[in-house]
Amino acid sequence: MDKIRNFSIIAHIDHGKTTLSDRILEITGAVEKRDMQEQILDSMELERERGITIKSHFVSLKYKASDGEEYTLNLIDTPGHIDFNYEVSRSLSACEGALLVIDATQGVEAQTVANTYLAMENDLTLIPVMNKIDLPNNELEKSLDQMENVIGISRDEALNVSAKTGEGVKETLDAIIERIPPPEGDLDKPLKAMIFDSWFDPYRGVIILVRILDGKLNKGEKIKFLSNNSIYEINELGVHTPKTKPMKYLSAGEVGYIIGSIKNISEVKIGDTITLSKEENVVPLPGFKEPQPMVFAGFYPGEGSNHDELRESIEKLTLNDSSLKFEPETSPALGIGFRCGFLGLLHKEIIQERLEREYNLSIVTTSPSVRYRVTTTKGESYEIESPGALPDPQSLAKIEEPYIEAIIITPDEYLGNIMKLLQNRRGVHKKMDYISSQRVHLTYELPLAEVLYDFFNKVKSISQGYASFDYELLDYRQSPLVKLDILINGEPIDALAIIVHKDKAFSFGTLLTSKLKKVIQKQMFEVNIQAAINKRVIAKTVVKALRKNVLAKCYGGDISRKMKLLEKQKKGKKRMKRIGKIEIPQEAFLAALELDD
Amino acid sequence: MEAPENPDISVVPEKSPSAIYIHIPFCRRECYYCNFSKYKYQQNSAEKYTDLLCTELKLRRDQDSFIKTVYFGGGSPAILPDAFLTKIIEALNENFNIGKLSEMTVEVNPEECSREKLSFLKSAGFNRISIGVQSISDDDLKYLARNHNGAQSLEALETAFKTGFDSVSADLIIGLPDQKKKTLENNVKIISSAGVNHLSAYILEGVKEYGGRKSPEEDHQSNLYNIFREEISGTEFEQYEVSNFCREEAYSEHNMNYWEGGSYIGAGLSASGYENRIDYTNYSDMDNYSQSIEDMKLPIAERIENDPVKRSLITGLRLSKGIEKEKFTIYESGIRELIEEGFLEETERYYRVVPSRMVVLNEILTYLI
Repeated sequence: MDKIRNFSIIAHIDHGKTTLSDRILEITGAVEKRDMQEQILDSMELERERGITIKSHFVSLKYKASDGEEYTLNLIDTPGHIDFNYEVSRSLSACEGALLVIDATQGVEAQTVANTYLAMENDLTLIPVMNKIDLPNNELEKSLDQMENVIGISRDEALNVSAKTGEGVKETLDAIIERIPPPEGDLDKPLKAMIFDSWFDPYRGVIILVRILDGKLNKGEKIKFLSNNSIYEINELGVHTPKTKPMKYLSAGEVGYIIGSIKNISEVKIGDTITLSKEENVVPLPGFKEPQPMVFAGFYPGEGSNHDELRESIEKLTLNDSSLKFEPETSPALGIGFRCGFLGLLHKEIIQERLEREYNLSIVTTSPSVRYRVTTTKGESYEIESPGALPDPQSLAKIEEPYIEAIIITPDEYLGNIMKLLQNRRGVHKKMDYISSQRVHLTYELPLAEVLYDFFNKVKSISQGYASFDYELLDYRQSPLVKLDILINGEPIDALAIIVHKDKAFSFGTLLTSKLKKVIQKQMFEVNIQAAINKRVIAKTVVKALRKNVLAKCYGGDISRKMKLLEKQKKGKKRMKRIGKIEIPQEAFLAALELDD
Repeated sequence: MEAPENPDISVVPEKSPSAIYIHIPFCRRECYYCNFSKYKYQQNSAEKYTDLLCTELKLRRDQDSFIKTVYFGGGSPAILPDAFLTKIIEALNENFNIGKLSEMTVEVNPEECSREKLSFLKSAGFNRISIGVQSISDDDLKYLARNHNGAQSLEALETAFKTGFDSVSADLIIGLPDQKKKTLENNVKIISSAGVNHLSAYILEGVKEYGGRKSPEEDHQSNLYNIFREEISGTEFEQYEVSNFCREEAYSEHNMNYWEGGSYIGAGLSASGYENRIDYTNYSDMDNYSQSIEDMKLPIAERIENDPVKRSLITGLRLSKGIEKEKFTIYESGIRELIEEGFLEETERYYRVVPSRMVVLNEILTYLI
């Protein structure tokens, strides 16, 4: 066991985590240089395109250290986005240490801080890695100052690295061996293992990544999940090097994959404890949570797609993503679809893109919503996930909404505007620290709903990309919220309704109707757009009817040309939804996301 | 609304072709707003093209069908020297049954309407002439960069009657950016009373802003189109198609065949035909066109089997009389919605577009298909 090191790499987005992982794979010989595909660990097409890691991955490496001994280094890659914080936390708990990568040209960012907190909660040994030192514009000293001030790690511990050129990577590997403690665990105790990742492989079934804490797990043994006491037989286990390498057993301190007779990924829960089916007295590991969706949106088939295809495709995605929740929903405007629950906005976008790209569906999604707690005048309490479900004001006693604690790190020249934005978003100022002479660390409490509406982009544009943001769910608080209805030709369209703070309702109504006027194209019929609160119209506008769309000429009898043109016009309506006789484009349902403050 | 699948195609009878379209892709100069296939006229290339076209007609030889209409379009067909035109007509005679022809049309530009040329065309067998008048307003003609002025337009019509053409159509363009209501009224008044029995009025399409040139606005074009229709309704003319008007039932028989789903042969560069329920289009570039014919192969670039019911909906609704109800039951629910909204109307046997709504026909069609 003392020849094993389990570690993770944590970093703010784009600070070079994946490049460092790739370099480590190359230096340990796990992947030959000629086979090196940019960013090996990001295997999903979307992950590579967006440059972020969505699902965590793991690779077991052999490394001959400067002491001449061969070590097993288990690198556990973690997702790089706040939406997946719980998964990050569980991946970290499978490790004894982590490389904290800081881009020396950027310094400490919000996710650096948030990830450090997560690592500290899991008692990890941190090795600070100052990356990108090959770049001439690096600000190494400033970054080190910030690290000392914000995170409290001494600059003497930092390693200077360029993941791109490979400089300092070998030293980093040696530091992993010297500084990170080997795993502890008792081989003689009953099996205790923690699930930190799982996915569905169409050829091999459900694959689970585990960290063995105590005991030993042999191929063929029967295991049990402590969260639901379900029992499965292990058909295969082993490690990824990154090639799959089956083994006879995994024992305390090790990390590996297991494949059992598990059909449904929803039975596999990240953070769950595994033991042998015969064991009775194993205590579950702390920290286990069911993944909680934070953001909800309706997904409906667009023109040319149908409800059954959409259901089948979402079901297939849930095979691989147990945090995606869905249930049938019927909208008077959009028809039959699904209310889906996501970990965050990025998660929603990814799911939508995968449905469109991998399953070739056209989808109309509604404005995202958070989960509200509603209490009626009769004293009933329940949760709602869509504005349409909000009871009438007459029967509504109170609404509570989720609040978050937000960390923002920004250069101080943008401080004023950032604080103004936070104030506009109903933020409550909690703390402000200078982490270096020009960088400020802000802590605010604000409603999660306010973050859904174009908050990230606003922070980025205000600060020209220099401010960073991270958050954590706090609690539920009562707020004076109202439902803003949007009516199209007099009919309220449930899918366009949003819940807003009552003081903002009027300006939102005006902004939203004028935004809708821009995105709803002229068509055969005049489109009257109204915003209303409790049936009182507060803003209205009109999209005039289209005046001309005809092919006048006969083009020498070229009928195919006419038909192609009409089919093309028809196809242009694919991401639209016909409500009554009006074509509403997808952008309309997301209009609320991009309103100016 | 979902378009129905597997429609019953028996409602659209298969017919042997009764019409031939001949495309002549040459012009004296190119009009920027025209997107037909055409080349600048040169005698040697026109001669070569004439030979290719005659060979194509041979390749398309059909002695079983009875041809009722022939249409020479372009380009500017009348730009061809008489000898070339004679050659093409001979090739038509050799390869097709055109003995019972009832309509043979040629498109001409006003500046080509010399007495000699028109006399030749008449003697060559053409009995209908379609003159590209466009407008009698010099401002309009200037905007369109035409080679003639308003006076020449009227002169051309005059010459056509004098040469003995009974059936004369004038092509007009409406919806120019600065076109005045008054101009349109004038065009209608003067041209309709000049003796023509047919008018085609096309809304200007595809003009992008360029240099100092404006592109027309949709609302303006829509207004002018409906003004034109209203003006026409005060004359002996009646509208029978989106862009076509005639008096004394002098419909363009050839074009009616397109809209009513009849079969037709297309020959020449980029020409289209419809035979055995297949829509085909010839190559629109001279290299591929001539290569195919030299290889003794039909110069067809694309064959499409369009859904016949959808096809006849799209062509049929262009006609003022509309479509026969019983053949379009699969589109009925959408049609009902549009009747309710005042876009379509019905008679005992027909559904048709409300005349003032013809100008949004594409929207109506995409709503239905």
